[in-house]
Amino acid sequence: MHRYIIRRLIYSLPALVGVSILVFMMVRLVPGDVILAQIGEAGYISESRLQEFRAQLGLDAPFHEQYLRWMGGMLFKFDLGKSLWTGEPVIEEIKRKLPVTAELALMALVISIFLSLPLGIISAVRRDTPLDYFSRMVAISGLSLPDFWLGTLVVVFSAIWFKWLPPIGYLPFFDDPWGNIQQFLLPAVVLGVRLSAVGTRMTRSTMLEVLREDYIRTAWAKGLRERMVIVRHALKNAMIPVITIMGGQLRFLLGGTVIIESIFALPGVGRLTLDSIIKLDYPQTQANVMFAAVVVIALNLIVDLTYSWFDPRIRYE
Amino acid sequence: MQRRIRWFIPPFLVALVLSIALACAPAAQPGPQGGDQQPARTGPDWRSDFEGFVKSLTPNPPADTRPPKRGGTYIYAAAADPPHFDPAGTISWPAHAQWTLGYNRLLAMKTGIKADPYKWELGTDLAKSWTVSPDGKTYTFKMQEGVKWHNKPPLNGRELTSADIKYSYERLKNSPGSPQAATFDEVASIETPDNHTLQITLKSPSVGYLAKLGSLFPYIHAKELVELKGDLKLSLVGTGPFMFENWERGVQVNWKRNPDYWEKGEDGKSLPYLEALIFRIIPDESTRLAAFRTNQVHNGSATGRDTLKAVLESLPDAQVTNSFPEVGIHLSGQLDQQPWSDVRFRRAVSLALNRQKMRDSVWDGLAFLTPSAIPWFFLFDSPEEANKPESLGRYQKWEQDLDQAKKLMAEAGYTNVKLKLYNTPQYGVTFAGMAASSKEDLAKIGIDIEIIETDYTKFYTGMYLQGKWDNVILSHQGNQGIEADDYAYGHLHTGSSRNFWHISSPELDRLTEAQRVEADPKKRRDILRQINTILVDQVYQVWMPKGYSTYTLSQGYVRNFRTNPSTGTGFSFGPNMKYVWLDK
Repeated sequence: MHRYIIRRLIYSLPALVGVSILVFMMVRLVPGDVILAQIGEAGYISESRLQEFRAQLGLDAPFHEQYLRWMGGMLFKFDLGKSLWTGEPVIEEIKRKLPVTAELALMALVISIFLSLPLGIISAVRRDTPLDYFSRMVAISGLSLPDFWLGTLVVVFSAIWFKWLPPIGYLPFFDDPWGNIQQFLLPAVVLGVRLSAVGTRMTRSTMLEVLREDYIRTAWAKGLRERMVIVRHALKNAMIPVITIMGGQLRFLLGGTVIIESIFALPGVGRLTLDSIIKLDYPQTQANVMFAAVVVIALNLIVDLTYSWFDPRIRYE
Repeated sequence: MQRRIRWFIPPFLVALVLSIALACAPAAQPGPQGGDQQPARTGPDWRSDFEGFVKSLTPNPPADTRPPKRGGTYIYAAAADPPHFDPAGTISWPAHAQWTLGYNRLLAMKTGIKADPYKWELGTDLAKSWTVSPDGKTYTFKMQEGVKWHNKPPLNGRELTSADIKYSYERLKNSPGSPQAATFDEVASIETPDNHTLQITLKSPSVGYLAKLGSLFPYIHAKELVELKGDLKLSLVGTGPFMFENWERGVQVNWKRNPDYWEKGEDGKSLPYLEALIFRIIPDESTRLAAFRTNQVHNGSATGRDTLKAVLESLPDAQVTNSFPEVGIHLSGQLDQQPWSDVRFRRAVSLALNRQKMRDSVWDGLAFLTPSAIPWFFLFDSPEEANKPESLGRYQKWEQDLDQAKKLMAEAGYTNVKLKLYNTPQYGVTFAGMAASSKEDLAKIGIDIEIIETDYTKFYTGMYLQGKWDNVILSHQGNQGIEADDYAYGHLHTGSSRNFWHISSPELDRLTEAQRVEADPKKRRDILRQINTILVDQVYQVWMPKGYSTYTLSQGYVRNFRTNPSTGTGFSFGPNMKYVWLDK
């Protein structure tokens, strides 16, 4: 198992290098000039002043030099660079924002599991009944409704109809648990609904396959109770594709938090990434994307490792 | 069957119901609503005459003159964080609002409940008076006494001196990449004869120069703090009415009252009346309005009559203000490029536009037409006078005049002209609407417009402010300053770095130079009017209707909240917030 993990980590290094090159290039292709964005609104700025400021921020060096400087800092000093706007190390900003996104993503995942597993199971076990149709309709709706639209509607109509809105701002859980749950629940539900739609459909599909297997027929024939057959025998064997899909959806969850964090005014990594792209804060954007890449690689590895828990036949060598 | 179904009662249904019940517990409110009713506003009641109500709105309703109540926390909803707090490193609009809370300037535009919102009048701030030398070059300022820095390290409440002002100006001029350096280009020297006297000598006389010192940018900051921190990006210790507490990035900026502020309120004690102020960051516009509806913030805005009415139906006591725009929107090319260099072409474009249609379809029926590049209140006594046909000239009309436009195009010899029109999506759907409307109108006189949507930074700072675009651009004029000279000389003189259109006219050069040195306000206004007459005739810029259908909202118990029309939360925010109090 340890060798498998180490091998996987080594194999991920080329992917990370590729991501670093892509993000370094792409962020500089975004239209606009970060220097003008910072000081240009005063009106006309002389070319010499622009150059002076550019040199101060280290943006006058050739691109390859800037890239190597950044990579060198990251690999040998664990320094992801400093914000072009505040001058602060960008890692500090990620550390501040990470708990918000982590909590939001975790809650969304839990809600999606809470929704998708029961709906998927009901849909498969009660195939072609009103319950099945209802579950499938809920799943299709979840896939069809854009989360930014749903989030905006939730905000607008809760304010109009119920004269209520989650407390705006950020209340850390350990400072104010109640306030924290109020802030995160609605955005997590919005995100979780979409995630659960995929999970519901996949659960239904895999459960239908597994329920047709001979060993399940044998279990019924032996007179086992329904709960035993469904949960103990069928569900466990149906979970591997579901976990694969849900693990993949986590990547989209990281992206989905960008919009939801903006709508619900949560100061997470998603919003930080959006702001840093708009402000042309290259080091911050690069750091955020690299961080997301590392998280995705780690998540994929964790998902793969959980397979052996569901299927003891799977071994890692 | 029943037994089978029972255990299938989805546990998630139970959890979902519980969650909704728990989550819908009332959120924290900034405080109870209500309080004594403020003095009744004049004008129609929105319930019985909504149109009349909308038309009667002003930016400065009568001030509440009852004794103010001290205390409370004002929560202001803002769309974006400031990038940082160093005046020598940015001039971003969100940063301005913060600076005005914590800093002062030597001079400042009159704002708040005591000011006429349509007059940009220079008033005192850290300077209590000034005199001018006979040659018009040297200004001697006497400073307010007893002004103290915030009682925080490293200043620890020491008294402000003239040396602090000199330091600030020199830092703003000389810091690498300072966006405010140009403000001090006209300054020959700054002297400090004593702790409460400052002398600024200009290279040549300029009646408009003082306004630059009261403009958006030159905030007075402290040497000790710069030496301690290296820069002021994350620190703010000033002399302003509020003291910076901390900045929770992406969440809010926290301020508390400066107990040692030098200006006194109506009750003889020091301003401000509020105990604290929170600048809460809410990026999404719908969420900001929702936060206002649910009393989580004290301010809001509603775009369009329908939204305004809906808000008032749910919050009948909400206060509403509105104002005419002070600077305009224009469609313009550069005078050293064909076909914009041809006055007949420019006049034809202006006549071909259906501004009534734009007003009704894009701006909800409420729009104002700027006569020229010089803000109207430097020229006219009221917006109504500014929009009379004789003020707008022969070539700027609300209604379309295709016959005249086609005649001019034929005279100029232009047929089947293809033009790019640069717009930016960051200006929103109204600009997209005006661009589309212009395209439709100009097609009728043989001009084929291709609309090119451009990123804002490239558009505004890379093209417009650099004076580098081909064909035509659709842009806000932008707040280029608070003095007529910033617009007259700034936009029109051949030698000005802000002459984005490359206008070169000996007559305009003569007049713009003359208004710079004319000390008599009436004579100066006459010169500005002569300039305006040339501008409306030559149509260097084609002016578009600019709407005023975004209404500023305030909770019913907030007293004396004002925003200056053109700057909103810009440089008038802090000076206005000094006078705000909460009636609860």
